[in-house]
Amino acid sequence: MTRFGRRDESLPDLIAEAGLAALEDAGIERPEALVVAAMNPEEFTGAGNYASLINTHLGLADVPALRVETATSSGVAAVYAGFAAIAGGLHRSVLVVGGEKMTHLPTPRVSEIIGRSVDPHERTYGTTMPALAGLITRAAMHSRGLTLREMSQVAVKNHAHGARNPLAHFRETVALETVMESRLVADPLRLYHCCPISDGAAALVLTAGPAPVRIAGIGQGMDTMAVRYRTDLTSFRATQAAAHAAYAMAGFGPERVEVAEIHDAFSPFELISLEDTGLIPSGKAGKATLDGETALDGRLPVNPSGGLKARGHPLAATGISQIVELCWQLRGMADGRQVAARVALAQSIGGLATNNWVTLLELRA
Amino acid sequence: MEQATVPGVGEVVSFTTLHSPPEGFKAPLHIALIELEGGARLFCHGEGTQGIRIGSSVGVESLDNVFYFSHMSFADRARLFWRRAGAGGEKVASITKSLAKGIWRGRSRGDR
Repeated sequence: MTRFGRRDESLPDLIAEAGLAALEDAGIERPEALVVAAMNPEEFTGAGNYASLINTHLGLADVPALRVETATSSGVAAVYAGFAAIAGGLHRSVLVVGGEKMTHLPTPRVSEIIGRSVDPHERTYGTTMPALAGLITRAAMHSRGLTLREMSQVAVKNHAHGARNPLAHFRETVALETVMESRLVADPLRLYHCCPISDGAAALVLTAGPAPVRIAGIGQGMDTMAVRYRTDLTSFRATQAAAHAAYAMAGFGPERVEVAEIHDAFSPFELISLEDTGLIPSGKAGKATLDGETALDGRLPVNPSGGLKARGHPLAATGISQIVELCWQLRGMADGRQVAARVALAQSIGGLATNNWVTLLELRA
Repeated sequence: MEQATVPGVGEVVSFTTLHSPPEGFKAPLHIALIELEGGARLFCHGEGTQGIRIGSSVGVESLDNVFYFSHMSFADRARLFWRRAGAGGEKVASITKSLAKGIWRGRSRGDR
């Protein structure tokens, strides 16, 4: 993956940087297929026909290519498309790339483009993603006892991890008081609870043959686009369904997971997602975070990369970058932030939890 | 599907105040998700969220196809109770309509 942050390069160049590095690492010159994840290059960069644009830019113009989009989980949806092609025996190697270029536009415009993932009727009330996340956070504080301190500690932890990751968008640590006192964005969410806008790209090579890491399970879960149609605001059915499917495919449960990358677009979502994936029992994620269980030196390191908050969130790159980080962790290549693990879990949220994914990775013996 | 009429009153499911609203909206933007009798949920705008809690009863009115929530004063609640004890939803709707119109014209909150 590329360094995430404010980048001057074009999106095709960022994707090429990540894609060519992945091919070199895999020792493959030409994949049999290409899958490109890009959430909205049309509006962010004015480009179209994106699968073709990218395979031409990579010098792979005759490699069959698809572009995949599932809002903010597009990256892992692209991994799934590649995985399914290999599992179906259609290809023996697939290069999966994903990226987004966002920092060149004014924030209100970026917000508007991201807002396309929100239900059209709800959008007419000005409910941006942060607004809906604020609503959900308040409901969680009321019904699950989530506290400001707990959700703020998530941000502190992820910044501490990002400080050890040379590819992270933010490499400074931050104090708990700074997070808790930062300005309100969507009450009760504050500035430091919200992930940044970033440029960047990530890539993976999937093969039918032996490789250092295997995808033990991958699951997708859905929920209504309209938040008002949901029965429970404080947990994400889409994550629960995705986790269930992934564990079923893998043939094991959350007890085997030793490290995780969780979609903390908003800090409370890390706490909700840890419980939705069954990694931490219901109601206990906040305390576990305060107790340091999810820190790098804890029992279950969560977001060793820095998560969306510190590593950054170039929308369609994120889902792939979580898996890249976990592969590096499993293979012992995560310099400065290495944990000991053989089994990892990545969880990705699409939109406001309408199209979510859980991926389980296992180090090959 | 059958059309039903429900009183212009609901329970607050959750709410937020958005300090960086999108284009076309003024900051701070107060948004609430309100559940009406029968379970239908609506997003509503409001004048403010002081005194509103999850579970609060609020008035709901539609003006120009936009829904608004309004905090009900003690007197409004009392009127609502007696109205619902007897007649149908119409009188309740007129209470909340007058509340919403008051807010629309910028009148300060009366006896709350």
